[in-house]
Amino acid sequence: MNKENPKLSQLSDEELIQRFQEGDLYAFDLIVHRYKDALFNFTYRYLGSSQEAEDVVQETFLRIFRNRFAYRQIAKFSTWIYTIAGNLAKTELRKRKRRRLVYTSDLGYDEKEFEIVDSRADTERDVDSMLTEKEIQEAINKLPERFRKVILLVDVQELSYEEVSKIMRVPLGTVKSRVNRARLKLQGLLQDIFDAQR
Amino acid sequence: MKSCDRIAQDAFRYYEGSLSQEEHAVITRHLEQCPTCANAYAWARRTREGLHKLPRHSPSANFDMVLHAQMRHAGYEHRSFWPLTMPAWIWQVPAYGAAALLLIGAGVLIDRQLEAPATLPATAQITRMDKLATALPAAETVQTTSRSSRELAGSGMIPLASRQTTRTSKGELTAAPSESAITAPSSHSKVPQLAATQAPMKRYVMQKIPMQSLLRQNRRAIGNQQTLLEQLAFDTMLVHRQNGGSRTLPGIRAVNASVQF
Repeated sequence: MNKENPKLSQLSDEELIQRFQEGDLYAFDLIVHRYKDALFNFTYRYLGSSQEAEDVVQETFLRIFRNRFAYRQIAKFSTWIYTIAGNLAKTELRKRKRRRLVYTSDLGYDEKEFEIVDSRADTERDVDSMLTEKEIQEAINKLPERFRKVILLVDVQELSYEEVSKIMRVPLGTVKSRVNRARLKLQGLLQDIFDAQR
Repeated sequence: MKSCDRIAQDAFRYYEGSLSQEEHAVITRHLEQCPTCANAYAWARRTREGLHKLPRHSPSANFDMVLHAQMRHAGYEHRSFWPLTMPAWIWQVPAYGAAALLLIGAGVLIDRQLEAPATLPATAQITRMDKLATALPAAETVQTTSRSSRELAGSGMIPLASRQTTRTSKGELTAAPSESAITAPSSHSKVPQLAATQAPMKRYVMQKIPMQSLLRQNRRAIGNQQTLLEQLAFDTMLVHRQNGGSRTLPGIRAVNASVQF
């Protein structure tokens, strides 16, 4: 059973961070509890590695703790925390490129491969059969960084265009056009991957 | 009439229904007539649905524990994460894992300590004894062997030529003298008794006793063997990864990134 304090658990993110700024450490616990899964999923898709994603999310919460007074309630808390996690993930990605490391299991598909099965899926794989999680992640990994982040925030994390605009600090129109271009690019990559396997 | 390129550009907006009614109707009519655009739209739909249906991944079970440890390490004053946000028993999972690992580690260490023969590996010592024996005249061989046996027994080993394994009435394995050792003078009769302490390859099992008690009782045998415990953790993770396991295990945390699992 979850032992969340009913009063604290009903508070909004912004109220929680305010309580945390006032010294209520349980409020920080709740922030961790609310965001760790979402942030991990975002960074995991962004980096393609569960270990790196976990490190980034850990560092995100450490920074939230350390810089809690830097948050002002003029912005949504989710915008702030996604901005921090996104920047750290971006730094991690650049570090990886510099190191030019080749991991033995780069994509980190520790979990079972998930198949997104079409209802009309047949034994013979055709255009309308299925795309696996691995194929989609492979295509995401090939996206340029500016496309990758925006498509994950909008289509995977399902944040609003307005929120993504604030996280990425670009105009709303830019977000919309970038999302469209990212989807088209991803579509092309998926078609290439699909065709290569036929 | 929109061109095919233009329709391909609007495929995602069409799927989302974010186009005007007029634009939507134009594309609907076009898709009915143009197989190329219909195929492109099918891919757009598949891409969008694929992203939407991607499974949600969660961090490892010891995420809170590691974060808590990092915060303590960073010097932040903070108590446990678990009482408020997690079931009370959650913290015990990694704790039991760590305790089990320590228990296994301590068992391995004790085992090694008790079985370790001397300063050199057994094979090296035996080889050295054989060379010593063959270098001496034949008449002295038995006596030399026996003398060497006594010396070696004092240092915790017996020569290969005089070692013979037998099983006692209690079922324990002991070493007994061979024929050449029996023909030696009676002054060397201590050899079998001393050799009996060298029961080869005894097996040890862990008793079910509290971890702290085990470590306290065997502190002298274990000594400061942190590196061996780390090696054990490394090996455990290696086997786990080779068996297709996840990158993390309860109770084991990477302290440097020199090796990527």
